[in-house]
Amino acid sequence: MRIPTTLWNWLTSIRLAVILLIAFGLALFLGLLFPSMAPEVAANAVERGHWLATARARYGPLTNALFTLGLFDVYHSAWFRVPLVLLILSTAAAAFNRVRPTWRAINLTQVWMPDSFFDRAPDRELIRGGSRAQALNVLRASLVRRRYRVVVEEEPEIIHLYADRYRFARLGSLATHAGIVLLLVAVLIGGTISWREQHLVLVPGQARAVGHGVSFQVRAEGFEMDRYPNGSPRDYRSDVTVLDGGQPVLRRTVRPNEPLQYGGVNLYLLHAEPGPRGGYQVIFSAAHDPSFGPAVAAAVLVLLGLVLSFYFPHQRVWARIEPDGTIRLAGKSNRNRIDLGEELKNLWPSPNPIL
Amino acid sequence: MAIAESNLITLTYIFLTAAVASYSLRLEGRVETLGRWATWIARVALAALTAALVIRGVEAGHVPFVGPYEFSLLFMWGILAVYLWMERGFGTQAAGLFILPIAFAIGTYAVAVIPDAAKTSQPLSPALQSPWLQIHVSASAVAYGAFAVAAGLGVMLLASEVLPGLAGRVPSSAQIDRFMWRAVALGFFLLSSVQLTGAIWAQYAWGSYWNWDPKEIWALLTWTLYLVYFHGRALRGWRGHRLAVLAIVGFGLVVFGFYGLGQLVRLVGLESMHVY
Ligand code: HEM
Repeated sequence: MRIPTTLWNWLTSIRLAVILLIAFGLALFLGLLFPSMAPEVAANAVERGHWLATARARYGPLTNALFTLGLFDVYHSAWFRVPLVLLILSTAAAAFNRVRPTWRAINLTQVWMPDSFFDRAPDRELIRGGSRAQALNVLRASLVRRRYRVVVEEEPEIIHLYADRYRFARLGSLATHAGIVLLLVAVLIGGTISWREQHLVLVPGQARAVGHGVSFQVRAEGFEMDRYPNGSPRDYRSDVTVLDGGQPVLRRTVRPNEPLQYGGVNLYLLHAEPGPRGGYQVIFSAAHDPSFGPAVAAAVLVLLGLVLSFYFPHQRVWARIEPDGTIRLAGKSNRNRIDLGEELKNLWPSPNPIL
Repeated sequence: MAIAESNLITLTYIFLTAAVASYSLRLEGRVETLGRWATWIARVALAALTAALVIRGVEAGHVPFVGPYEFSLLFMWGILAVYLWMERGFGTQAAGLFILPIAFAIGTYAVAVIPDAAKTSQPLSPALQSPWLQIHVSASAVAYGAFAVAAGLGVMLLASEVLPGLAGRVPSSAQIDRFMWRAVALGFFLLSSVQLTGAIWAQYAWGSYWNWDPKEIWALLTWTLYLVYFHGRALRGWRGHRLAVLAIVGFGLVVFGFYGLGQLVRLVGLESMHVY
């Protein structure tokens, strides 16, 4: 029991979060200091040899050491992966740790507060005047107008009032942290199950297979280009037919930014060039990456969480209305405290409707 | 470049210069002079710049973001717009003197350093014709503007701690810290949106939403630094000058990513396929 607890405490510690973020940033920077070897190059002994020979011109005898240390591919090496994975674990653990306290804070409605609280609360205000009933009505109306949820408990002497707003925005922090974890997990999984065909050459009129175990074939029907008056390309496009089991099943116009999507595979138009035996051929790339949708959804969750955290602080206001109509106000905010102080000052309408 | 547009840019530059001068008079408390009109002068500069960008955008048929000249103008627009928007909540005009000079420096670079030949509007190549890209670039201009505002506030905070003469003329450290947080929060949310829309564009254009492009990495690095800012503030209770230093360093990263990263990329021999 003891070791897991210690590990958990370490993983969710405040200091570690800051250290991990700094380590992650340094690892990102490290990768910018060295040229990186494309995975296709790394996988092919001959190409790798050529690449390293070029690198030797720059790094001399250090080349092999740098290669062994993974510095020519920092983002797939332990330099980057270790801080990244720890960051994911720590963020997930922190989010998990905050679920119960967050839920409790959302549902806590403590109307009655001790006297001492009104002397020590972070933000305080004192308002005098009117009868008790008037004071309550004006205060309640002002709070409701500001979209506060108001709960009142009347005692023979004292009226207790509790009001809060944006309590569900406390979920924002959970959404941000959970969203980041989901996003990074989606990206990591995507990296292992996605594939990409950089250079798919289609001769117009001839069907060919996409490869990577894909069952269907594709055929380019032609290629067209429009130009601006200065001669630079304005638009180019190619009509592509998909054939499944030898039968045409789909025909689409493919443009830059408008890939053809079929059966989980996207086909991107790159350009056209003269063919080896006259005529021309159209160059596409093909990619399969099912992680895109989940990654975007997770990123939207992060953004949503950020808006809630930044712009909807959970604010709570307590009031004690004394027999003579004096109101003692106290407030707490989980963020933007100065703004709440301002708000308390402005809660009571001016000119004073009671005096 | 259209005559109207270049005149408007000149006008922007003149008014921006006047705004910096009047904000400094304002800070000296000489409100009976031009200092009184500081905010209005800055607003005229923003209006002229907006008009110039709209003319350029309408003529080209897209948000003007191609090349360093257009992006510098957008960047300047972001700083002016975010500053003038936030000034209404500051309750003081003191920050103007610390923030507008950043816009002035970028304006000087755009107007005087970039050669005229590089200022003409270019038609968009097919790969750049995407609504995602337009949102991406527009949001980045405002995000960078917000980070500039945060950095200017950071300088004001540090200055107020070392220059006793500023006491009473600028807000308290605690207040500046709050304003700075607001600017960083706005910039951070927008920077996150910039990365998302950029990723979506890359997916539709190239078939891969994350390409380890140096620009992408640099944006992620900048984003991570601001995460340190938030966690230091929310969890470790950092306030005041430590956060001011982070906001200034963060903006330094933004500017470097924009004007210096290309040099680093060439030096190291990396490849970037980013367009600006
Ligand atoms: C290293 C692991 C991390 C830990 C342990 C951690 C923990 C925390 C905690 C405990 C809070 C304050 C709780 C609250 O406001 O409810 C917080 C705030 C926050 N976290 Fe994290 N976090 C981590 C990583 C991240 C990451 C990767 C992001 C990326 C989006 C992030 C974004 C934020 C934001 C935006 C805030 C709000 C700051 C504010 O309101 O000023 N955190 N974090």
